[in-house]
Amino acid sequence: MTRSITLFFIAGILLFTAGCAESLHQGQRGAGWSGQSNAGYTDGPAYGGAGYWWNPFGYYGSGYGWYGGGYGGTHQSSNAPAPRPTPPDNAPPQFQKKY
Amino acid sequence: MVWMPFVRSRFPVAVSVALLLLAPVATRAEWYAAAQLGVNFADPIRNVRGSGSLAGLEAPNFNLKTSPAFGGKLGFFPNHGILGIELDVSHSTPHIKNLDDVPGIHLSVTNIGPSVILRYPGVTWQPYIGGGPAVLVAHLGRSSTTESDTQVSLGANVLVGIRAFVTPKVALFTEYKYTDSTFRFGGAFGPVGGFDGTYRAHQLFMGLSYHF
Repeated sequence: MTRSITLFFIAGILLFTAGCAESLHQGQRGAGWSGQSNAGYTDGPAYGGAGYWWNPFGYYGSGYGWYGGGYGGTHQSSNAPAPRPTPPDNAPPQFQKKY
Repeated sequence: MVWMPFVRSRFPVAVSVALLLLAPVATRAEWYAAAQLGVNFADPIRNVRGSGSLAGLEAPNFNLKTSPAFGGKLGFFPNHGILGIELDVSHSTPHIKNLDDVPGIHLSVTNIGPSVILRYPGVTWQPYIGGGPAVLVAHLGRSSTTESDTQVSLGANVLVGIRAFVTPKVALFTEYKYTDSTFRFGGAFGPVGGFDGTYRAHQLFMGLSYHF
């Protein structure tokens, strides 16, 4: 598995070194800007305004979504572990393992 | 059936208005379709807890195998801009490893995720980030200890990648995607019950996209 992962990354590097073409869409758009007021930045739009970028990782802020901010056990009120119930005889073997 | 006259009279108008509003956006948008192949590095299923009559019981983490992953994407960037939307579907088989003497269990996961994508619209290189909700369809195979069971759960995807154009319409890309969800296999142990557990996966993809 380690070998295949290494080959995966090498193949990725090799393929990306071949990336030398220009996007048709962005090339056309860049040409359209040449006569406009975006001088000095032909490769993309003029990103202005402080609110233009935002944090997509905000999903994982406190209290988010389906976990109610409680996943990971961070909201337990006490550090003392609760006693585990004894599994019944018909419980699957996964629940009879000690850990 | 009260709403039928409303549907008959207003629905075609609403559809027409929606099409008129969306048509200019669609024609000015940069659409793309992609195929991707990669590796799924899944964390162990954590917080394994019994459900049904097994509620209250806990089990050790279920270690998962690293597996191949494949999938496809369909997306668009309105006005060829930096903000886009894509639908990503990927499939992997992170089988549950044996737990000491308890044999392993076949597991397959299909991740269906619409994402908001933010990219740098460079002419050759386009790094991007994105994220959105995910619907995970997971299938647990029958084994000596489990019954076949399929569950559908909600989760979240966060991704980061970079795309490089090799022709004006074809690009290669590599992408890392993180997925977080909670599996709820309510019938994994048949009438006895099932289990819930936290599923988190790291996926590394390479792919080819066509922009039209």
